[in-house]
Amino acid sequence: MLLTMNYTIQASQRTPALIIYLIDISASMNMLMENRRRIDVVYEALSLAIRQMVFRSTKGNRLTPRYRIAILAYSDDVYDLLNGIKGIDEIAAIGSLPDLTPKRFSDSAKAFLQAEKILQSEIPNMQDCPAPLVCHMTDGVATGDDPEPIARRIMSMSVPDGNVLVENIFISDHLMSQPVSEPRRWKGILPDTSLEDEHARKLKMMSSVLPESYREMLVEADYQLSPGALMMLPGTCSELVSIGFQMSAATPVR
Amino acid sequence: MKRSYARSIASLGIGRREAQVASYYYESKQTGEEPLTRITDSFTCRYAYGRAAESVMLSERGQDYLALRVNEDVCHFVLCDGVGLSYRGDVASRLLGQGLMNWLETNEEFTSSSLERRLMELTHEAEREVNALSLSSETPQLLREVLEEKQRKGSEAMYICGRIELPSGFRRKGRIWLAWQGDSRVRLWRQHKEITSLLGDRFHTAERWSSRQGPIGGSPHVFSSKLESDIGYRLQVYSDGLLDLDSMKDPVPDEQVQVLMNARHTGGLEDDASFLEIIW
Repeated sequence: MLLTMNYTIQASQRTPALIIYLIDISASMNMLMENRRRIDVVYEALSLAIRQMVFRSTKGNRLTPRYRIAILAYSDDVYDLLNGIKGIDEIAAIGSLPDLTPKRFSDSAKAFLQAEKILQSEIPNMQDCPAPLVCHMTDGVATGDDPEPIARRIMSMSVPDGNVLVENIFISDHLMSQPVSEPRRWKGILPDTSLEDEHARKLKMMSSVLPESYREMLVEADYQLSPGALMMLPGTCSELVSIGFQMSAATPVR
Repeated sequence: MKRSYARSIASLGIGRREAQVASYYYESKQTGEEPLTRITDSFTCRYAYGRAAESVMLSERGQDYLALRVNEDVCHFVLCDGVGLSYRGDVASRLLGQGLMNWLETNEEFTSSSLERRLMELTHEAEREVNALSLSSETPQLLREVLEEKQRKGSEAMYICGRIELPSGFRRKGRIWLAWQGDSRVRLWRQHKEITSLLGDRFHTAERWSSRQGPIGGSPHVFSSKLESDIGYRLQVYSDGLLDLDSMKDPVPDEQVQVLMNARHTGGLEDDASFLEIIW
């Protein structure tokens, strides 16, 4: 597990945060969660996270591009939904996110590889910026190559603010031995939390420690994650999925 | 900015501006910068105001507000820092700053409860002004929704205000009274020794004034103390755009303060910055 670094640089117009979303659009995302398709729950949570970024990026009546975003949907291929990295101001001007349409397989290694390429190209120009974050959402076992070595390479990339953060949101009913009954009181997955599912254990190894600055932002939003919790969320209900996406946008801002 | 000189203005030196005055008023203009200025009389005051480079570039209003009045042996001041994540922090900062300055000049009872009453009264006018602000018809829908949500929650600012009375024919001892909410800096020295710890660990980011609710995150913090005669004091207040000052305990030369205000090493200020130092 990588050590938690500072992660205190604030996202600003001059030092924007970079967030890369990797969204699993395999066929199982058609399954229902709380009477809605998983993909729809994810779309709504991602839209809410974008709205949160807009909320945190206004100054006066203006939207400052404090966040830069890429959204890669993956199945057996990777689909760059925004055609590259877009500023939060550009996304707000478009108004809504592109549709997420489930396809067949779930080759997350391909998505992580593409994220790695983006980071390799971006990081040299991000030395004064907050550490980039890769937020991966999946609901099942990866088909294709093992994504863990790529994720660990990504986690070893760094800027002075800290190593690149990798977060995983795993939509599954069989992840935890105890269900999370009160998401707002939940302490999070800690390094010694035992997980039921083998794939979940792999994702745990691919998850960064939640930086204290991010945790403080989440505490302000009334979530009680413990110090040292991992950036991994069990998507057993829509609220936990939503917390996962809010976590991805919790870069410090003033 | 507005300035008024009651008696005399001395000189504008090279590299710094200096005035000798008995009565003096300064109010920051949120649309422009104020280089470090020094006034000297019963109090020696230095102040400066600067907007974030981003605001200068886009000709936007600064979200800090600074005002100072010296009148013979009494000095009042206010420093407000608008909360960027709230709706139009520049508006809260200005309304609160002007309201507090007026209260400091006309009030006779300097207590936490009288201040809290004033902070609540100020919400009436502020709420009207904030609600009257409108958005451009070209604002994208998502941004409009977010801004309208923020507008409903109100405009917010942190503040520090204070009053210093020197000993006079009417007062054997002087008095200092300070009040604040938020994390802007207040530092106090007595005979060159920093005694800021007397103010306590009571500077919290979550505490502020809201145009909708008045004080939020807690009640105003107040510090009051008598002042020893014939002993030198130095009070420094500054907003979080000047955090580099945190590590500086000794008096900072004018030129160095101006260097911090110019912030050329970072291509201009990253955040709005207000600086005020009062020495007596």
